Parts: sequence; C-alpha cells; structure tokens
Amino acid sequence: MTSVTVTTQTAVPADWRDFLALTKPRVMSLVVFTGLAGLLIAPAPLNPVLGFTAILCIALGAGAAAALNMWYEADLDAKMKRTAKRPLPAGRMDRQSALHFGVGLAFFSVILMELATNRMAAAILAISILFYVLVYTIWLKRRTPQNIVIGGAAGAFPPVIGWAAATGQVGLLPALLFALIFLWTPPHFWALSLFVRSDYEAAGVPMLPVVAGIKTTRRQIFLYSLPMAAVAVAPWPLGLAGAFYGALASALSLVFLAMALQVCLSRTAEPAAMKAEKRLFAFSILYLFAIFGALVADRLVFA
Amino acid sequence: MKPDLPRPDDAEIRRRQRGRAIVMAVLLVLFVILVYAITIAKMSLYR
Repeated sequence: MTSVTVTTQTAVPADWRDFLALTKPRVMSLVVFTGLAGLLIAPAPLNPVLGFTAILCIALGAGAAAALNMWYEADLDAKMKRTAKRPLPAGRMDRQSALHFGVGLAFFSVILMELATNRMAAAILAISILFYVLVYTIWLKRRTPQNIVIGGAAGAFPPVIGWAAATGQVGLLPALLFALIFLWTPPHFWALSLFVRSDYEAAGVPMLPVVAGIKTTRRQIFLYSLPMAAVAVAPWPLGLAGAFYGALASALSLVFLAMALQVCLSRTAEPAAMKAEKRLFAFSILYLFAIFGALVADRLVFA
Repeated sequence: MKPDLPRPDDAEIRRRQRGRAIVMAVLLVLFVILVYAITIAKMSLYR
C-alpha cells in the first residue's frame, strides 16, 4: 500500500447500503448479463433453479472481488473524484469490515456454485475472483500501464462460468467470448482514461495516457479494436452462430471500429472537449450488451 | 495523532444495527428457501 492513510475507523457501524455499494452493483450488471448469456447459449439445458443459482453466484463472486478491490484501493479511491464518495474513502466503513465482507462473500459464492452446479464452474469462479484481486488489483494496477490489458481477463470469465455451469466443461464458443471481452476491455477503459486521466495522474495509477501519452493511447485503442471486431464476428464463419448474429455483430463491430478510428484521429487534449472518446466509452458498453444479446437471440429464437 | 471521530449517536447506532439485522434476517430466509429449491432441483435430476 502507499503512504497515504485513509481515515476509515468509524464510530458507528456501517449501513447495509454501504455493504451493497462495496459490490459495485452497476458494474455487476454487465457481469451478470454476460454470465447469463454464457449459460443460455450452452448446448446443455440447466434446471431454472440451478441456472438462477449459478448467475447469483457469478454476481456474488463479482461483488466479492469488487469489495476486496475497494478494501485494497481505499487510498487510491480517496484521491480520485470519481471514487472519493465510496464507503471506505468517505469514512463510512472501516477497512476490516470490507475485508471480512469480501472474503466471506467470495467463499460463499464459490461453495454455493459447487453445491448447485459443478466443480468446473466453481473453480473458474474462484480463479476469476483471485485473478481480479491478486493479479489485477494488488500486482498490476499500480505497477504497469498494461494493468487493464492483463487484468481484463478477470472480467472475461463470466460467460465461461455460465457455460461451464450448464455443461461442466469449456468449449470453443465460450473461449471466443472470453477473448472478445478480453480484447474489448482495453479500448473501453482507455477511452475512459483519456478524459479522466487527471484523476489517474493524481492518484499515481500508471494508466496508458498518463505513462505513454494521449497520442499512443488513441492509437492503441484503434489497434485493440481490430482483433476485438474479428473475434466478435468469428462465431459466425466458424459455424458457432447463425446469420442473425453474424449480421448484427458485423454491423456493431463496424460502428465500434469507426468510433475507435475517430478517437485515433482526434487531436483534442482537453477532457471536456473529448466527445469522440466519451461516445466510444458509452457505445462500448452498449456494444457488449448487444453482442451477447444477439448471440442469445440467435441461439434461442433464430436457431 | 488520530483524527477526532464523530461522537457515536445512540439512536443512529441503533437504527443501523436494526437495518443490518433486518437485511441479514431477510437474506437468511432467502438462503434457506434457495437451498430447499436447489435440493428439490438436484433430486429431480437424479430421478
């Protein structure tokens, strides 16, 4: 940890809403959606109760990872405008409560996943939590601008877990979905980091725009978008998805590439004027929802 | 030197404890229902 001390010793017990805030519910929605998509497109049907439990475990696992992330990064969060109002930097909760909550929730989610579905899904869930906390949060985030490139793998696990919960194994399609989220993460976060780079700079987080500059970041956003688009369309020519998915994935990926190119060619250095970057960031969230939605529709409606 | 902590307000502490206890009770009831449903679902798989 760095030298900044955060006053987290509170005199009153934390409110239950602060525990809920520790799980980053908004980020969880994308995790739950991609996990659900992995479960729904799997070739083996899963009992609805067990399917619901699997998705619940993915959500709880993501919540546990988020809580442990906030526990470790309380000092960083205190320095950034975007995160300063979180329960720990705001002093509404003590760090030990956050640690106990995160560890407890992590064990609970993995054990429940094993009991309700199978060992493979539980093992991947455990790996994803450990990867996010140990590899991304503790090891990479403060050390290298490649933090979100490698750390992005943590967010790419949910569709694989959903698929494994239904089938007990991992196939080519979930591997492609893993690769899609893995390659989507850098353009998504770098677009954000371009217009909040002063926040990262103040907190000493070596995000790409802080370390390598804005121009390099813009180029990297476009370069990562190319393989991402190829992986997004790949299930169609490989016969893993139908024409409906292929057409929608191609159209969405072309729009993504056009926006990434716009960001690449932009010369704006003023965060307030970074319209292309903000547009790409917003679209990238919609893009992932739409791609996974299209895959589910292709499998369930058009198959 | 430690910064001055806000003076605990008894009513606020009670309010928070009550809120946490209610949420915990609801979660425990939901957990029991979930485990029951999982058991039934698992039994039907092996029937």
